[in-house]
Amino acid sequence: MKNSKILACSLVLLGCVTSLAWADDSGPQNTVRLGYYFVFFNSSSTPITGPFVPATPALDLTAKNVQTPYVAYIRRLSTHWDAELAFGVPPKTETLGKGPATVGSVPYNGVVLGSARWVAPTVLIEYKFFQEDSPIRPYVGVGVNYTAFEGRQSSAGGDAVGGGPTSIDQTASVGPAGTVGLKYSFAPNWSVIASANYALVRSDITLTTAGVDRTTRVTFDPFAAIVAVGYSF
Amino acid sequence: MASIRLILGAAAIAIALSACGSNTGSAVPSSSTAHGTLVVNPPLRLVSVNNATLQAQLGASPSGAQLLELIASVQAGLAVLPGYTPSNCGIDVYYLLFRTTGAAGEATESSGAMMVPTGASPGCSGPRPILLYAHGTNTNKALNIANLEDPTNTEGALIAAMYAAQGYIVVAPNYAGYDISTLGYHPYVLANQQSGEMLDILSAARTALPKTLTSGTSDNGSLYITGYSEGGYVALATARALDLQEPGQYTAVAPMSGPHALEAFVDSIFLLGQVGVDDTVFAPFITTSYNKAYGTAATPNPVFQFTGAPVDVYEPAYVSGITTLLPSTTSIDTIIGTGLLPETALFSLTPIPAAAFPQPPLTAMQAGELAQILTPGTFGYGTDGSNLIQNSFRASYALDAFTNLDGVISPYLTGQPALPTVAAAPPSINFLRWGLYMNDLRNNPTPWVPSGATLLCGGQNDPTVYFLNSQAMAGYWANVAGSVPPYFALLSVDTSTNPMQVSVPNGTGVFAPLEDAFTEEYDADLTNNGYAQAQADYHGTLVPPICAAAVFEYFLAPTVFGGP
Repeated sequence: MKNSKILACSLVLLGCVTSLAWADDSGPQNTVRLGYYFVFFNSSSTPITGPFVPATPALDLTAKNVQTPYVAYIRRLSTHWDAELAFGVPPKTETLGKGPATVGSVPYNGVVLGSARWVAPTVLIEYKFFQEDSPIRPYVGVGVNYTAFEGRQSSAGGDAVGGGPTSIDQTASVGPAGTVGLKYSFAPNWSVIASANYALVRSDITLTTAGVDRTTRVTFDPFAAIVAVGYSF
Repeated sequence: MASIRLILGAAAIAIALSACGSNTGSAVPSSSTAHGTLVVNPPLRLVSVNNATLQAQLGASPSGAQLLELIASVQAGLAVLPGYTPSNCGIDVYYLLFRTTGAAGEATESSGAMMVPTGASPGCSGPRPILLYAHGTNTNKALNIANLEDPTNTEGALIAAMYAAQGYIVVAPNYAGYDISTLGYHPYVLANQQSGEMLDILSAARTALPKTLTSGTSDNGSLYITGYSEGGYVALATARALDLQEPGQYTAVAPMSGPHALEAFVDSIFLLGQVGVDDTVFAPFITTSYNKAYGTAATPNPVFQFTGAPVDVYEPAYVSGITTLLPSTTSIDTIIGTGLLPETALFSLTPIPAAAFPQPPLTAMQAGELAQILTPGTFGYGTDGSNLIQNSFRASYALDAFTNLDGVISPYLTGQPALPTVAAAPPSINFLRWGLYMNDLRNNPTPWVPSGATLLCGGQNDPTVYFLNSQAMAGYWANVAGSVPPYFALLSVDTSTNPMQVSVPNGTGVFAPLEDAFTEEYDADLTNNGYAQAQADYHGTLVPPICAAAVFEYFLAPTVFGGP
């Protein structure tokens, strides 16, 4: 609930800034970008705790790197300011065991334990360097990322480690996001960008197997590289 | 002390846990309270180990390594049997939650283990027999025999290695009153409740088995029943309960060191004064159980002079809280250390005067004789004020035992007529003795003989649960019921006639290697730790693995290891 309120506020903020009167009208006001996300996770987790969980060696989780199409809408605010609403097509992200090679004789480390589709919009305010007519414009941005984990699914490997069919409860994440990028305009209305992006994504995960709950908090810390083509109008 | 401490020591097995899952598949608890219902289906698998990992984890402790050695020697010895191939299986251990009933028939919940053999070794998958196992007296309320990671769960490790890893689907309850059970006491040596709970977990296990992660192993319909100490009694009571339903439902039963002849056993303590190791621990278990089952009033027999209420049984210093004392999450050493129970002092050092026995039914001469029998002994008699049982209650019990003689006890008394049978005798005065009589497995409306092959295993110098229990059952079948069970065998793994004997005769017959193994273990304990420690270890540590191995051999080939 709290997370969704923050998201709502962020979207309102985006709406506000995009309609600000200080937006000048030199050139196209809107840009749509299509491209690709290359997501690299630098995850860490607290050891999983709950009934029948061995304390040592600790059992952690991590996530497997993913790639997914990138879609964004950019509203020009002024010569130097943009607002961006970025989406990835929700990638099916696999959660991996991180810890001992086996639990008992059940494979653990590096095993795909489950997956979820990450619905992860990010709102950014970006500052563009150089002048409007410069073909190359570096930019930096800060904003807010919201991530919800949909379609959570246990794998056979996850069920095997968990001890039976398992359900997941996973809290949505709201955290800061940042970007550093470079825009190159190669034709009127057309540009390409490359950017490096970071978001803080944290989630409390409760795993329920046969009525037994085990919990952990995972910090996913995804770093994403984006390459995209933009069309302005 | 009373906790069964098997030779395994701290053998531990790593467990599995959940890591990630779906929002669709997790089992939902059943709302049915019908006894025998599996509460969570499919059940939680706590461990999955292949045989190599199992052996490595057991072998990491000296006692676990010793157990593996014992199993290897048993397998080597069995090589002479035609068609025998050793099974060295992995195991998947499931945690079963099931509905059962308490001592008075009240609905409650219990838990337990289902250990399923796995792997490619012969006899480890496909249709396999079920072995129903009942554990021994355990003071630890948190006991979960399915949790093999708990280093105190040595009995769980023993049955995992001895039976599950050799091809049996092992099913074992924790008992009501333990683990997650909310019952505030444990129904103890209570035949109907405990056999009912065994059949309840069997029903739950048969429901669970087809839905587990261990899809390659199934129930072949054969049933074997065993257990140790309290569980030996429960195993035999379970066989009886099945026979009362319909004979032929189990292939074999092999109780180990169980108090089957409860009346004779406790008579030997209260009347003959032979106090055993851990009797002060057993006492509150029994009185609480029978009070819950039968009430504390002087019913059902109004002539009972004493009820089972703590104020009638126990010295005032121990009365408060004794009904909820055991099982406990506090260690038994702490319970004894803080004075809530005496360690050995069951009875008073103060003699019971002849005048304590009402007349009638006794003549003055008889009362004098009884007082003489009850002369305080050595072990189990405390100084005044420290003993557990009131003299007045012991007098009541002894009078009952003296005037309603159990056939097993009469030969120990001079001047008593030899009774024609070894059947239990109905009490008339003492509530506790009445409860023991009601639950004595020789007490049957019509004579009962197990329909399946039967082995009674124990040690003849057992200082805790006396071997007379097994002998009394054998005598009951031979003399009262008129026939012994199929392939019947009565085995003492101890070939010594005296626990202080230095030169023990070698074992003879089909169990000779195990008898010799027991002698070796006992002698080592006696030499290294002294007589008192060897006595303390006898029932809970030394006999269990040896008898467990004997039971394994017997179940494999009752025609070879049993009688005709």
